[in-house]
Amino acid sequence: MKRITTYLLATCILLSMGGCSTTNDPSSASESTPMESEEHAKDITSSDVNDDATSSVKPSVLNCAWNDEPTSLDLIKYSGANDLKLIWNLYEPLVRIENGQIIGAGAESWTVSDDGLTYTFELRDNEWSDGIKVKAEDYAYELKRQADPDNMFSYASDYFNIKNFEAVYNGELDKDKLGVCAEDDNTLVIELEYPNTTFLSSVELYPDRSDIVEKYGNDHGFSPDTMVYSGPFKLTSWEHNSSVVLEKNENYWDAGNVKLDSVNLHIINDESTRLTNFQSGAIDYVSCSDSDHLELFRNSDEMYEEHAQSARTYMFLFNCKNELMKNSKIRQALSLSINRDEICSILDSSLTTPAYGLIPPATVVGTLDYRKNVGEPLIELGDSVEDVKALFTDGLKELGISDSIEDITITLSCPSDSLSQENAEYYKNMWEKALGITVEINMQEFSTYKSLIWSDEYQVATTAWGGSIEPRFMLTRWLPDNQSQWDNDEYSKLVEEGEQSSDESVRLKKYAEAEKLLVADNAAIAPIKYDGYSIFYYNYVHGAVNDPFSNVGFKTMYIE
Amino acid sequence: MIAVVFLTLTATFFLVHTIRGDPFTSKVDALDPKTRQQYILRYGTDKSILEQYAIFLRNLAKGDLGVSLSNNTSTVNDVIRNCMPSSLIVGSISYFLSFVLGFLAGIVCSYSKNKLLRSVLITLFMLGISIPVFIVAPVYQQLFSVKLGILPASGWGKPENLVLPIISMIPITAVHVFKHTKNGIKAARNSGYYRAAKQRGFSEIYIFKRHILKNASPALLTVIISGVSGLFTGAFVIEKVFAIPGIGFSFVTAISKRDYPIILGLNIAFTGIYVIFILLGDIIQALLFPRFKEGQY
Repeated sequence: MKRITTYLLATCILLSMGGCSTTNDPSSASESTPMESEEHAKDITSSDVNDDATSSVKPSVLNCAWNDEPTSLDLIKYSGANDLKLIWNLYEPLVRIENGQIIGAGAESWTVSDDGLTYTFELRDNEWSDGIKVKAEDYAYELKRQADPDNMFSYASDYFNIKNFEAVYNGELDKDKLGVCAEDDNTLVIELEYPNTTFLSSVELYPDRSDIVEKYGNDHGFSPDTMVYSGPFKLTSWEHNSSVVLEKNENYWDAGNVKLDSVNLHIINDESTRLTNFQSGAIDYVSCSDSDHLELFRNSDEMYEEHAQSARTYMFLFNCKNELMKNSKIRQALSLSINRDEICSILDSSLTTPAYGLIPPATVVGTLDYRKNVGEPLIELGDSVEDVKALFTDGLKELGISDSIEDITITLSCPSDSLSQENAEYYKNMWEKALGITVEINMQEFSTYKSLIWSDEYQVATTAWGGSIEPRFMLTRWLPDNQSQWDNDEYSKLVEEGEQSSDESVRLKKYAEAEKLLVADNAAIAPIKYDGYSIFYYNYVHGAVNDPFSNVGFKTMYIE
Repeated sequence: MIAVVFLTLTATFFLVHTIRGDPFTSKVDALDPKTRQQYILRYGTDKSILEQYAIFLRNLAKGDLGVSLSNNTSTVNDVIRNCMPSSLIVGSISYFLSFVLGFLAGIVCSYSKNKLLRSVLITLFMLGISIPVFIVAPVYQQLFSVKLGILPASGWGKPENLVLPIISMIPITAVHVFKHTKNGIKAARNSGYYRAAKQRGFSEIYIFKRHILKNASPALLTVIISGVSGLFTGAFVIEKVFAIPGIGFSFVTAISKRDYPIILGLNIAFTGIYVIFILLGDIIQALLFPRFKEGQY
């Protein structure tokens, strides 16, 4: 009834707006920029898609939507996934990862010295978008720039594996001492601090041009005319908070294999607006986790679905300095008393998978698939514990708390958005039912919340961490000074030993032991679920790579 | 006037610095402690709040509002320059239309003898204010963009992008104009001068033009002026739902990112605009309706 009334209201207001119909003049759309995929929108509604065989003349344009504006495309200032996703398309890294394989990109080939410390790259013949050759010096220049302490590069610690990077970054050494050297225009040599067989998959090495950087200074990377491009696409327009347009870079070495002529990225913060735009055909694909829309899209034969993992693990953080949470039995009991299968199927429409470990699927150790080789530690722990309530009571006894379990109240902190709130209510009910305790929910605005979970003022909190291709990144999040306020020497030792071993089976073993210590034996965190979502594409969109660690960007996508 | 701006500014400064969270925690999930320390040193967020306030005032005196902490590049001026036009376009068109619609509907509703028409108008306007924008807007998007396929669901840069935001925004102000017009006319028609004019045989239209309009105008003018400043500050929900790169959305985003210079800079701009419009309103009223000055109304 309400909907009918609103439709009626909408029509009335529109009719009453007849006087200003000039703003809605369809003829003005004909001279528009390629911002909206009108041709696709029409393709979907008309049945004679294939009759339109003249499409080869039409430029191949992909329209998609992102939730947020990139912050900066300067390689020392970028932060967050959206920036990086654009950088993949605009700059050519030495190597790219495509479905777990390392493939030469800016580098045609490379050799590693016997001691595993020196990498020598032979570069391809690639040109910047202004026609100047991409030189080894450009890669060396950018790496030195990222190490320069004045530039405050946010991801610097990921590069500490490179010789002297950490010392330069800490201001102890001059940046000329950095372990990178351009031997000639085509040869780049990088030296490591210690051997690391995963070096190429753990850091992304990009070139930039010193003349451009110096010319534009602080404005570099914030608008199309302050940058030059070495990747498959170039940035041609950036309307802040509204849209980003990429066009094919004809100077790119592999331009023959880039099939899209341009990509329009619409910045749409509101999820329901993104979905509506997809339904109307204004964008060509969309990621979705909303159950109503999932059903709607799955019933349509104009589109297909791909399930994607994001290599993120959702978890509870326990503040191990808290009076109650400092006991590991209490933490274990809380971890074991939630029903992960139910959470994934009911709250997430089975798009996520139950997590009984920290390291998400798709993570590898060298050539070994981590999750296929290491059993999830919580399953083992769950099998050994018969009564979680008794485990919790044991914990209370160890702490010398004489209250009965029914008198215990714990506080679960979560961000104040509706989704987190809904999930928190669900967790609360599960714990109250399984243990008989009382759970209070403490909601906080997102930034406040983020600061809270880095302090020791919370008791239990929800969060999520994204991993990188090897378990190292996620595991190092629980070295001392972590969100769980947990300090364990054995854990630190295991992670360090794993990190520095070049034997993949040793590495796997060390990482597995560390994970078990963190998740099961000590239960400093309680993993909940591995993230997953669906992407819906119209049938004419092809070639997307959805592997969470691939960085190929739009290069492989095409429209047919 | 300057005192008002200054007080608001000071209050905002202390408020944003006392809420928990900082721009660097929100920035990168795993910011290296050393990098974090560098950021803190560079932006001076380790200094005492009074010291930071003094630095802020000193820069403000030089006209330097600082650079965004979230992208290190855009200044407050950039944000205003990029975002103000879109908010202003959507705001002013919908404001103008809502005034016209509300005013005409108010007159029709007062003078029409058709009871059904009156009820329909009142119901429509009641619905307009009671159904929140965040519910109406998606309904419009579904209807015009998905079902009918005649308008884009969101976006910016083309005339047709304006239609849905504007029709979603109209009820917000139109309702107030409608109500004030209707009540103003009603009050006037109950007054002595109306009955006197009627008895002297003047037509309704003549009385309306010569007397009622004149008497109802001051109240309407207040509604208009108090709404105008809203045009510059944007409408957060509308801008979010229709993906309009406007100032309201930027402001809210800056708060959630704890981007202090942007929050404070926009705050100065907003307060300034608001104060100027209130002042303008007072001047216009004093010029048009001198009785106000003498307090005889």
